[in-house]
Amino acid sequence: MREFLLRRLLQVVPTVLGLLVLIFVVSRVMPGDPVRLALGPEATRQQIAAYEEKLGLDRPLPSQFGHYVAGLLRGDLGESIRTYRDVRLDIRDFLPATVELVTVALVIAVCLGVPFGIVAAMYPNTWIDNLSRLVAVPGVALPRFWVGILLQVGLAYQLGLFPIVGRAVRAPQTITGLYLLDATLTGDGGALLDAVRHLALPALTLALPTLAQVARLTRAAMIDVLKRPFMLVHAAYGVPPRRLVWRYGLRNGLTSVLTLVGMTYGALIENAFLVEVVFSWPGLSAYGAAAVLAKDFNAVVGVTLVVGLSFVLANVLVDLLYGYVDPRIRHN
Amino acid sequence: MNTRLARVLVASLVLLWTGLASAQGPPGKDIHFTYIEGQVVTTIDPAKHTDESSHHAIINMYDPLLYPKVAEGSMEPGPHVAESWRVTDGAKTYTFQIRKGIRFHDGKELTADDVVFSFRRMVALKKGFSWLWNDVLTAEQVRAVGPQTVVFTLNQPYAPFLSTLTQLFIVNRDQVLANKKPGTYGDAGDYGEAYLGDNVAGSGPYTKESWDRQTTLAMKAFPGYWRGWKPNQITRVTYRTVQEEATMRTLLLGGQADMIDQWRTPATFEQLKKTPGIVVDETPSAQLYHIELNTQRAPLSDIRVRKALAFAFDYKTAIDQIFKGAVPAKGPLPNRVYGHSEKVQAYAQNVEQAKKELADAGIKPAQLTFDYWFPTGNEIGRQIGLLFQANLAAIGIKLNLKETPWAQMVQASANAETNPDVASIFDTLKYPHPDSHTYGMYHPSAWGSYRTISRYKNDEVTKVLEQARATVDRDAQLGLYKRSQELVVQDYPSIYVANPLHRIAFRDYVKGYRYVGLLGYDVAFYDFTIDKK
Repeated sequence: MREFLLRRLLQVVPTVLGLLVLIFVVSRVMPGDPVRLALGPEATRQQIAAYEEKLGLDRPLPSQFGHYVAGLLRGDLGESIRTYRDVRLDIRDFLPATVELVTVALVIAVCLGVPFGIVAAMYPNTWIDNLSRLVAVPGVALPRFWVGILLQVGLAYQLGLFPIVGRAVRAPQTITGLYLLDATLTGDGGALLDAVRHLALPALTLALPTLAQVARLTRAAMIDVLKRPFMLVHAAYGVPPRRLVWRYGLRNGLTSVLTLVGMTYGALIENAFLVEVVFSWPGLSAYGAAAVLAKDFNAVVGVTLVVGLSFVLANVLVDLLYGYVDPRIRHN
Repeated sequence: MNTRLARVLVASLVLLWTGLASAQGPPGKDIHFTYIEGQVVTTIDPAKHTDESSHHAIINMYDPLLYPKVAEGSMEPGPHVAESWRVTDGAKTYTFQIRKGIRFHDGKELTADDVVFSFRRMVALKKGFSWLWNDVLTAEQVRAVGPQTVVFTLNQPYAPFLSTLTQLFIVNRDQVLANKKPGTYGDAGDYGEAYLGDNVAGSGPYTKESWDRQTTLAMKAFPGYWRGWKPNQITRVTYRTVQEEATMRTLLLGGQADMIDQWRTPATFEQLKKTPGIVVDETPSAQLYHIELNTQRAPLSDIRVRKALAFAFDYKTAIDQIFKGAVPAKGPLPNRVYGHSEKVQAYAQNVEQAKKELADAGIKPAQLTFDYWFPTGNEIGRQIGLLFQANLAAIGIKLNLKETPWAQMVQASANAETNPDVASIFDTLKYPHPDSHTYGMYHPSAWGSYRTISRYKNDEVTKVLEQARATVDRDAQLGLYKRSQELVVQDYPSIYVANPLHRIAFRDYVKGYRYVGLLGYDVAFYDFTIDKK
């Protein structure tokens, strides 16, 4: 197991290095003059030259890359030309909000999607299955930002059940930057409730398409598994139907769902920006989108690395879970 | 003797009471205000801000040397940190008397040293509005000659100088130096770049409570603010960034916001106007919308071709249907700005005249094809482009719409070779002076930015502008700026279309809002009071 983990982690290195080269080059050759944009149209040539020198943009591209990698090894991601501070600090401040949002969204998607899919598979082509289809199709088809606005108008503005925007009225004492965790660790019930109320709508909005995908995929996988001969054997031995499905069926049908979850985690971080924009959520995704628009090249590289790394690590984790869920993979 | 003593005692008590009243901060209840802005506050460092939202943050937490006369409805600079000044040496030496009794948030008194330090810091960092003093002032030319006296010695007379000082925000020298980090500015270290990126060292009416750098800046009233506090002024501000317009509207309608920013669509403001309890303030802005024409490249180097384009354009449809209520632009200087020439009239459509101009130039319309550049995502720019395309097609000229990222437009306009021929530009007054939209756009030394895509050069105009900058007498100076506008419009370097309306929406209990046409100064929360009956 340890060898497997080590091998998978070593595979991460060339993947991230490749990503770094690609995004570094793309961010530097994007059309538009970032320094002029940052300093304003009235900046003189001397001002522009001075700032270019400070950012290292006056050097050849390979030299810039070498300088960047050397900085990266020291934990220096360069200066953001939009916020005028180290990108590392920006990421430190904005990443927890996105991680919290995406993780809760994924938990909602899995906790609701998997049971929904199983029940639909147990009773195919009945009203329960049709209901799951009715929820799943719009869940995938409707744009997230539009669903978010609908939830805001309906549940927050009309009914007043949730705040319309923001992450908290009263933030808990910072330990990890994850409000739910920090409020729990500090035993701050008020802050926990406040964080849950603020998180509910954005997380639900972000979760809906994934929830729908998980439900449909679980249904398909479970229908396939439920027809397998070993399930018939178990049934013939008198294993109760509920135990049959949840104990034997689910473990066999879960691998495809795990694959989806692994692929989705990184994608959700990347795609959360629309939800972050609608709910004024101070996360990394919205920061990354603003960085692209402002041609804030260091921020673009930094955010892409974080998203890429999350993507890769989530998949390593999923590989490990495969082994747990399906012993055949572990032994092979 | 007893009477005199009694008078002195009474006077002392009154002074003491006044002092205590202002030191105690806003009387009465805690008044919370939520302002919604579409743009992120990118910096709270007063040497680095360029955008509106950062400007708002700084105006509310720092004091500038001079302040626009907002209460009088004027954008002209008036006393603030500097209570008076003298101009000598042929308008090259400005001596400012710094007001006594201004205290920074940490209690230290603001002095001439702080003013000098703030100026030198801005010039050294070379960011934000430091370009305002390029070529006219260096760090060493600003000196403190007494505890409350500062002298600025300019290289040459510079007419808009006083106006530029509305962008010189004073930082607490001792506080910054006490928190400096190693850096490239000698004894000044990093000039407090790291510290002022996160902290405030100002004397403004509000102090920073928290800032998450992405969505929320929370401020609270500074009890020791030197202008004192009155009942019903705002004591706590939540400055929140919300980029989605529908969300913004929901917040205002739902009472979770008190005011939303000016950058919403005309349709949104039209809808809000019909909503009870919401006020939409509409005023002609100090912004120019124009279509710049490159005067240095053929065929637009021929004035007759430029005139043909200007005569072909349908101004009425643009103003009525696209801007929905803008004021027709009369030349480059927005109509509301002092120093605007009444002799300059708006251009008007005359299709026959457009055809005649082309015929006079010996050009067949079918030979002409232009690229019309407009910034990506700018809906008004796109609609104007479509209108212009149709207008030019009517006289046989082809216009291609070229939607381009703003970063790329800025880069293209920096060089003569890549400079666009036809470009859609919104240009807001950069400092409260006619110089911004005359010298800043039509003096050849300014070439190389989106403001000078026309690359206009007329020796007579250049001379008039240089004379204007060097003229001390206000009336004579403004007369020269007016003359420059009258000359420029005769050369058609741009199609001057509109001064769009400045619109902003707020709840009807918000009193004291006043727009004077200057970036950011309308959202000074100290000026607002809340009247909830």
